[in-house]
Amino acid sequence: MVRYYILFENYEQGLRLHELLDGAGVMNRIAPAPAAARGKLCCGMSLLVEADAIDAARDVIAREGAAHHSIVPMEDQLRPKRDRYC
Amino acid sequence: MIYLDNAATTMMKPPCVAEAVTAALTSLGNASRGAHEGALNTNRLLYRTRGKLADFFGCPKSEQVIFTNNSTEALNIAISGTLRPGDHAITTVLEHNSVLRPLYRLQRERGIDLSFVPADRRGLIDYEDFERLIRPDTRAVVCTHASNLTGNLLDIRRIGAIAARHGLLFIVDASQTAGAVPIDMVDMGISLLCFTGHKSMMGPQGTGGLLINGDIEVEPFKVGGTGVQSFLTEQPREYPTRLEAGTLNGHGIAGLSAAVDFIRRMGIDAIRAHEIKLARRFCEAVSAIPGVVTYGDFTTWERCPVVALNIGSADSALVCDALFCDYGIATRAGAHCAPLMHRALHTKAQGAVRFSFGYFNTDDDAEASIEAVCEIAERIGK
Amino acid sequence: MRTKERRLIVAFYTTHDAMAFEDYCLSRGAAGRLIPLPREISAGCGLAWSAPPGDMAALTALLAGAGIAPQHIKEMEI
Repeated sequence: MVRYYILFENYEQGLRLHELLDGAGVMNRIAPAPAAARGKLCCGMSLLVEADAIDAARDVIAREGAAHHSIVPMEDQLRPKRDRYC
Repeated sequence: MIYLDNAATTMMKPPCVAEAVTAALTSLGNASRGAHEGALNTNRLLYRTRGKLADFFGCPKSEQVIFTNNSTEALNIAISGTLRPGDHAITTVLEHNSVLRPLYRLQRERGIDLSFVPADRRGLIDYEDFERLIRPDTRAVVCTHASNLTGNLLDIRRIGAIAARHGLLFIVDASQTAGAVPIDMVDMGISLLCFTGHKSMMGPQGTGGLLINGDIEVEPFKVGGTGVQSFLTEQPREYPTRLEAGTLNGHGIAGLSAAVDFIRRMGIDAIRAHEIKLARRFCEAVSAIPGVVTYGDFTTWERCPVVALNIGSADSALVCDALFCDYGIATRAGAHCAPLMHRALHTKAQGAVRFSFGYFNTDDDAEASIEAVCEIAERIGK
Repeated sequence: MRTKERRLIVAFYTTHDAMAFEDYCLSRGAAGRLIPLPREISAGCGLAWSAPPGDMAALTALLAGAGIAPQHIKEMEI
């Protein structure tokens, strides 16, 4: 299953977009930025967006001119756990 | 939440620390800015805390205990305050960016030259490399007491002896060891010790210090108001005022003072034994899980209570995310502000998940973490 | 305006010295207290120690015992 990680240059960018996406009702959550996707310029925080919400996320980014580093698709490497903490 | 990110900061502080900060918030004036009881309360607090820290770290003069906001500030002061244009400094690949970036900056701005002691894939160094790298223009050795990624301890006494033999300054980053491992500056030959209050010292964020052992001239990193000698156009030269400009974090220092008392009461050896017991139980159990790779030298438990690992080829960030979201276990993935260490361990592409145990972690925390790693290992790649 | 009185005033090079001397005197029950440095005296630290007048020898002995070299000692009306 492919998921999308929105990467940032710093936490302020990440938290701003998180707030914008939440305000627009686009499902997203804060997650550690994958090491494989993270270049030199990224910070350790990313926003994880599922495939069915990424187009809506891109719309919000474009509309708000939200700063971010890149959007990276990645296959999930873990099978889901039945009981989740969050 | 099971908090296993104590190497980043200790989230749970002793109750006495919180009480001290709370009391300070309604009782402290500004030190050195007045002779009324409010200002004197703070002067007394600072004076006594300097004494406690001097005693705690074996620093001969309490007036050479300089309060800083954290290790990073202490390291910036120590490094930029001692290294001059054309100097050569020796450091290691174990270092955190709080050591590396000030050195790189001086490389660019003052033309200092740097040499790096390398490490192998267990994060181990060859102490002979320090001697091999010494040159006529070498001024200082700057290194960490312990890697924040592997938890490996460096033999500071041994490095201090090398530095002393060659008349070099020895600047030590004790971010991971202050409060976790006994430190005696005189015994270990440390010239300048940089520590932070908010990790194993279990004090508030925004506290830390630079301790100076001996007659060492450290030039100020920042200058400004000192409350004394106000008509001087330069920063006063006497320690500690020389290196402390502006209002100190009195409320935080009240907490730091209480934290030192707590560690003394509990005993640093007892605290260390507890933390190492948990880390060892965790490490020995997860090492037996197929696919788990740990990073560091685990042939000895003379180390910090840190275990960094990967599970198969899974991205460390995804494992870290699963640990928190699915099991409520807080760890740290990513680069850990230690880029050269990751290169030495060949973990740049994958990162590593770091578990770091603290005084308030329990046996149950260790067992739950073992189960979680086991389950995640089964969930990967199927 | 309070009545001026004669006091033995010790001025210090540093605040650290001032606090160390206060601590030392308190631990020995020696009379005195920290006050703002009188304007007539120039010193490194804005705090001064104010002790009862007359016994300069006792005061200098206290300072020696504390290992503190004062910047000035002066008996004066404050």
